[in-house]
Amino acid sequence: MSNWVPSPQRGIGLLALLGASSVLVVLGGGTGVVFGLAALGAWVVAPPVFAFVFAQSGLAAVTSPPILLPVAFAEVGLLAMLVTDPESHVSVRDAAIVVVGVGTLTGLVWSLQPTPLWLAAVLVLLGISGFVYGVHRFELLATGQLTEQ
Amino acid sequence: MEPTRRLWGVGVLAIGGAILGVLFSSPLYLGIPLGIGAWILAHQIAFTRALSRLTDTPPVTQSLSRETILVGDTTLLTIQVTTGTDSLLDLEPTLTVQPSPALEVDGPRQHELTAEKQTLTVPLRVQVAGDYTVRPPQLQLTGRGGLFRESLDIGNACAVTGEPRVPRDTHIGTGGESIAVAYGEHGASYGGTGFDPGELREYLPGDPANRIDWKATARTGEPHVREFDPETTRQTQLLVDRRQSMRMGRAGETKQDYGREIAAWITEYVATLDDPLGLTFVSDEQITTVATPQASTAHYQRVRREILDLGAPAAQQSTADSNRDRPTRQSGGRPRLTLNLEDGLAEDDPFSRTLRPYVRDAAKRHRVADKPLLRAVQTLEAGHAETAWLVIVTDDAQRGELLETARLAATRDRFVTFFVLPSVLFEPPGAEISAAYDAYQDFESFRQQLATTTNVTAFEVGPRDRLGKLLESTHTRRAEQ
Repeated sequence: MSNWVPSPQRGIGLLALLGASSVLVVLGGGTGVVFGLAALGAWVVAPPVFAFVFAQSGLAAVTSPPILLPVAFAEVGLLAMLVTDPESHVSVRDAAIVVVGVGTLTGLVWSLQPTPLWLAAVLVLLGISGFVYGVHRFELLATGQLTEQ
Repeated sequence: MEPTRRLWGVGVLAIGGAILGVLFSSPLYLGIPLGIGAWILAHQIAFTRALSRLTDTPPVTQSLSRETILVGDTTLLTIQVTTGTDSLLDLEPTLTVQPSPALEVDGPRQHELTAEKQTLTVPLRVQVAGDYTVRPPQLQLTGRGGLFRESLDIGNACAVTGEPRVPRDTHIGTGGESIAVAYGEHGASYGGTGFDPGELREYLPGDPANRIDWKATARTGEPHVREFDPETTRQTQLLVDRRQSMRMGRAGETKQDYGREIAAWITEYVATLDDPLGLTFVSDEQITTVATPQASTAHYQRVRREILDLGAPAAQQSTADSNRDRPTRQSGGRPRLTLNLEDGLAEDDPFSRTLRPYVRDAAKRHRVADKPLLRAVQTLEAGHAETAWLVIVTDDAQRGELLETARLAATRDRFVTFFVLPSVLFEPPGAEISAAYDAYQDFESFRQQLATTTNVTAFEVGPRDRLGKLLESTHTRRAEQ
């Protein structure tokens, strides 16, 4: 229950999640209700990323094949929920960097169509891992832990 | 930057989402690893920026109360933590002290930081002499969200020097007053203090006043002056006490350590005069004549080396030596052939150095039942009666024996100088100061009594700081009364 810290950020995050959950309910019926409630429950007791996982899983489950506008609306809501996480203390600039980077990766993978889905999954995981490793190396440099040999 | 278990858990979720996407052939499931990846990246970038700010403006400084300490002593390492714009506490900081491995930390090395401003004090003890560095403290930090952890050395390094415990600032004097002699760095161009014995004669008009020997004058009632004939070769014998009582004191600052300093100084002084010098060690059970009086550079070096090697406990040495023991000899016996062979190995060449330990063991050792110092002087009388100056380095543990020795050794043609190390100056710190001063007064009375013997001079030797504290504490107490 430690996430129940009242703040405007948390309020925006909750609204965003409710918006995404409403898409689940409208498109998925009972299945959507289950995933929506799971996402809300995870948002209460765990970091928002877990709520995102439940909501995204629900979207994938109830919209197959995906319907563009509702899915886009829900994805924006989920993104807003992640960004407004008060625990992250991410600046606007850093959030923009992340969005641009991940968006670029998504576009790259999408542009490789027709591609087997498993290859796309591997590319996504490799891409994310590469970004994380790159930030790790930058951290070593920024904190002076890299010395000339 | 290290991943935490939470990061691994979230990573597994991302992989699971990708697998689900492949299993159900739904590209929307790939949104899970993308979303999780974005979330992880956001936290990672924010953590990196916080670490970079900490590195640029370290919130930690450390300093030492003393940068030079003696081995076994303690210095205090003070660490001050002051957070700046970013609240350090949001990063769950844990601070670890990082002294050199040779420094002993009296207390915990890890400290949880719980306040915006905090001061930590950590005692450090030097165990081995040398130069050491106390590295900047290490801060273990955890990013918000608990995904990443980092350990950084933040702050300044400090340097501490451990100096060995050796006799420092040795005091030589009488009644708490240092004598005006050159000891240590100065040349031995001094005189007039009674330390440099010479011929005593009555004062004649025209004699310089600074040559008057006031002690002899007071004793005889008539002014006397002491003359020194630099042309005279004066055979000198050095007797160094190494009995059990000489090992009193802290390691590196025992009576024996100070005695060794004095004996080495005497050796240097006699070497400047080019006088024959002999060396005898007196231990609890035996007398060892290490060197018979000779005057050569190699001989002086050898005597000095023997004195500086004076470190192994006499008990251990006597145990080892007993394995090669010879039949006991009474003091005053005729020297055997091996003694002459030892004399022939006085040169400082590889041949002599190699053979000398085997020959030395042969005949120079005399077992004595009691009063070894007195027996040593008796042996001297028998073997080297022409000794003009006898220097005895000892302590005040056997005062009766010293008085007897003084009366026996000092003759019309021989001067005796005692360097006596008072036990009171080598007692452990913390002893009752009034009792210590009484003991020192008692010693001073004894020293004066020793010095009343004709042709005998007696000096006190010990750590100057200890004597100074003793006298200062007593003066303070008397002023208060």
